[in-house]
Amino acid sequence: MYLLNCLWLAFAILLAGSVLCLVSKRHKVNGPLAMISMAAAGLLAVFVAVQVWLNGPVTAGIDSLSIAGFPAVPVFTVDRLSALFLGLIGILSMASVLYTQGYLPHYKSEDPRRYYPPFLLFVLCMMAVVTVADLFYFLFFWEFMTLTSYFLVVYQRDNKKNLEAGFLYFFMTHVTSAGLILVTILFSGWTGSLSFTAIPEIYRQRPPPTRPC
Amino acid sequence: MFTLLLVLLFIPFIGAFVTAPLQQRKADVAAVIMAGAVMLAAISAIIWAGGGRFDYSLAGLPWLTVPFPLFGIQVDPLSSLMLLAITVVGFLIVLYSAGYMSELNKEHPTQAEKDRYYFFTLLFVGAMTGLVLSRNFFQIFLFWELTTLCSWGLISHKRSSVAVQAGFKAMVITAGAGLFFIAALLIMYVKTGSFEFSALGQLPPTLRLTAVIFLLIGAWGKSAQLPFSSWLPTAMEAPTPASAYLHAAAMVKAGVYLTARTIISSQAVPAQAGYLMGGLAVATMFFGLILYFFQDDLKRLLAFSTIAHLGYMFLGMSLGVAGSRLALQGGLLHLINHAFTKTLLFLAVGAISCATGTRSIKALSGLGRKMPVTAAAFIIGALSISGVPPFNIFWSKFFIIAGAIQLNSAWGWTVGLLAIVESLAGFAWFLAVVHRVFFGPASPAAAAAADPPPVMLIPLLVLMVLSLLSPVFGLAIITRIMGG
Repeated sequence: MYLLNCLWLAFAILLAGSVLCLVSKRHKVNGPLAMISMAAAGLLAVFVAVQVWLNGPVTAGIDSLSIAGFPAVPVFTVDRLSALFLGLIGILSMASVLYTQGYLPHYKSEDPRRYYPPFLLFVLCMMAVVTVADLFYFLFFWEFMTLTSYFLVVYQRDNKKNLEAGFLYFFMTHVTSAGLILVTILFSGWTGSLSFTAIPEIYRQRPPPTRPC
Repeated sequence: MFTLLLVLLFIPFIGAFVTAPLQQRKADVAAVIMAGAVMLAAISAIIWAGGGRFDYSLAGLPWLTVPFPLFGIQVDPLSSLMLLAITVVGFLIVLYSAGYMSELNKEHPTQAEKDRYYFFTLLFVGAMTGLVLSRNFFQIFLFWELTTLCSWGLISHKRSSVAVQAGFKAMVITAGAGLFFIAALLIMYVKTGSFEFSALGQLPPTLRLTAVIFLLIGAWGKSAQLPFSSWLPTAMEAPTPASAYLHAAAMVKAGVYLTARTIISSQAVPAQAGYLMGGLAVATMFFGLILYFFQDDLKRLLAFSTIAHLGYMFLGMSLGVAGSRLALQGGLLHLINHAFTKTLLFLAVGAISCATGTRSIKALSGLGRKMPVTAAAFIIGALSISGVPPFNIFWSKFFIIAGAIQLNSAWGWTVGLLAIVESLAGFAWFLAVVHRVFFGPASPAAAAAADPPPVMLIPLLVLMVLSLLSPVFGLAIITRIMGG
């Protein structure tokens, strides 16, 4: 359980960091704040990943966030597959924020408040996507990840090509999310649960397809 | 509790008459205090009620024989849900108006006739409060007609010929549809001798269907559903804060409330009426959607978006009649989510027109740099109204679509998939508008623009937060409505 508490602490740090980065317009304030938040959250993520890799999977839910009348419960599971991705996200995100400290000041006309908050939220969503074990919340974080990354794509908002790319990216990912929405709804109807662990049950209960002779 | 509800009911009316003789800053201060008092009284009543139902008799009419006193006050979870939207949005609108109705407003630079504006706004808050605290259909109808009068006063506020015509049109269409409400009341009284919500269930099946359809026609007129939609876009002649109130919490939501009250309290809506409601809701959603693409005026775009989103609410409720509790919850959740998000969008557009003197999408570009807070407000509103998580409307749209598909019928699948298509197309258009108006280099109209004063920014900031968090308290109240 303490490993998942570490993971949720990483989420909380990223959330708090994204809010704090809104306070100042100056990169000298914003950049280090983002770096500290990312380093703390990234190290926690790597720690969780290593522990899971060595000792096996952990799982726990936040029951207080469950929705009345809907079978979605935010359950997080870190197994070795998600640990691998969690570790990679932690390491690469720290590297990215470190690199940004020197790169972002080149965009003199742009406000860093439009970069760091969405970036930290984007990392939070990526970490949540690889660890959440409920289809509805997977969809939720997946879509939120798209939204935050869209703001990173259109960071240079005076550049027409960036805007076109941002529009295309956001629209296409939103359209394809319709498929995820349908799957989520269908699974919840079939099994009464949205847990990833319930998905194999559907196929066990359904008769195997007949092969043509 | 009884005293608190009485205070809640009468403060807005007292406020309207107190503010009526005042001018300029005095009118602002009095209106803000009164609207704030209404909001605090409503929140206190909701907390005190705690999801329970309180019903108090006041008086009757000696010449009208009915089993229970005709007039009274009732608060239950459904009225609590509406009260929250009416009073919180009402207060934010009044606060915003104190900055909007000024000489600094480039679109409508005047403080004249603030007295009349606040009179009708507070009267509107009172009419809506009375409507949701009503204990039977007869009482609802009285406040229903008062909302029509208030909307006429606000839509024709500028007194230009276009504004006067728009006010007249709104009154004729909504009052015309309201005649069917009267017909439904007559059927109920003649057959059951009562106007109680339960009277609908006592009618024989054929008459019950007729009465429900008559009530629905009244509701469709008020909520600008097809074929009564034409009054809503022309009602954009009202000052923008008044438009926001008309579209978000009052007037159009009265129709949704009447339908929800009929479904939940009478438990007697026939399935055929549900299918009719659902079919018309989907047609209205697509009618609104198609007209998005032809709008250059930001306010008219929002008007058609309102028409489409009211369709979502009716769709959710119609699926509730067909047996989906999830969709009914979604419809009710959409009511409160839309209230906050649409107010946010309207007030952001008001700030834009105030600063630039125009609402034309073609004339505006690069506002993001000039008005960062307003831009953030509009973008959050646009993403929310398009159903992008984590914002509020994602939850209600998801519940409606999930409820439709989980019915596992051809009808459920059809309307569920159509709702997904509408949502995606609406998202694309709002995203395009965001790119056009807020990104890129600043256009001449936007060159000298700046964010509005704090009195207008505070409502925007509060509504941004509510556009994220309204499902938290909305779902808690709706669980009570559903008997949880």
